[in-house]
Amino acid sequence: METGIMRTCFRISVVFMLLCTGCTSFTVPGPAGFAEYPVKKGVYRAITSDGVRLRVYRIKNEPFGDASMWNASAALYLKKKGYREKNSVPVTAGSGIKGTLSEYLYHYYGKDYVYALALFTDRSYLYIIEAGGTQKEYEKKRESLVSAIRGFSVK
Amino acid sequence: MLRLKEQSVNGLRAFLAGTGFIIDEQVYRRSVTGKVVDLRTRLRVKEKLHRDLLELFNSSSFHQALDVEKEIGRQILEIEKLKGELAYYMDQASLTLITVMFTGPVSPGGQSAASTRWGWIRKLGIPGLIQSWEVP
Repeated sequence: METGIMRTCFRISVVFMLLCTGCTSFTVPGPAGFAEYPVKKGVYRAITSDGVRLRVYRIKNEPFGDASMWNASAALYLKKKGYREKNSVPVTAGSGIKGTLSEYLYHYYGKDYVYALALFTDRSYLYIIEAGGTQKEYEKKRESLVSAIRGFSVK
Repeated sequence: MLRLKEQSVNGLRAFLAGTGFIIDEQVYRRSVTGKVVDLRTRLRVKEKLHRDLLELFNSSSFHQALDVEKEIGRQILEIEKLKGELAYYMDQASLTLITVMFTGPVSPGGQSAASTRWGWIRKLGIPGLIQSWEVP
């Protein structure tokens, strides 16, 4: 009897774990031309055939800071690493959540890359959207990436 | 430091842009036209004086000839000096002087002095983004 209850509990917990690994608290409209991966551990990923990547995940917003504060911290670090800021603009995502979008140039293994970082915050979480690829390929997909970022929403 | 013909400068610039980022670029132009014109005029005057002295030397008596010869020697020195100065400026104008300064590479692993207390920020960037696809 007890073994049966334990087995049922185990099954429920496995189902719950499986559900949780595939669930996210946000939605990103799949950008055109990208292949989307199944969400794993709360991380959304998509990639193009020429290696432009998009990754979205969230972390706890602790200590609490707004998007512009976190963006400034990230920019400081990235610039020290050799990233050159192309632009940085405030953005409002689909659900009305406010954030920032910054694009950087970076030279990596002999190639010029563009790295985009969008940050959104709410009271509890910091949502991190990263995108990047070689400059040539990134520029081709930039429009669909930006519209995906603008379409980002928190459930 | 490099000295190149003006038409080769764009090629060098493209090459440098291909090897890394051009962080700063400064272009200076210095006009030497006034100086060259002045030197050419002075040279023409000196050469005419030199020719006149040679004519005088041919028609002068022995005692006068010694003085004229001294003057001719002085004029030749000045003419050579002006020619040298002129050649220097012509050389400066014909080639572009380029100074290229290379700064240390920022390595892909982030071995630069960049640091932050936030772990998630340390994971940002192109290498982290690419590696996140490689590591299951």
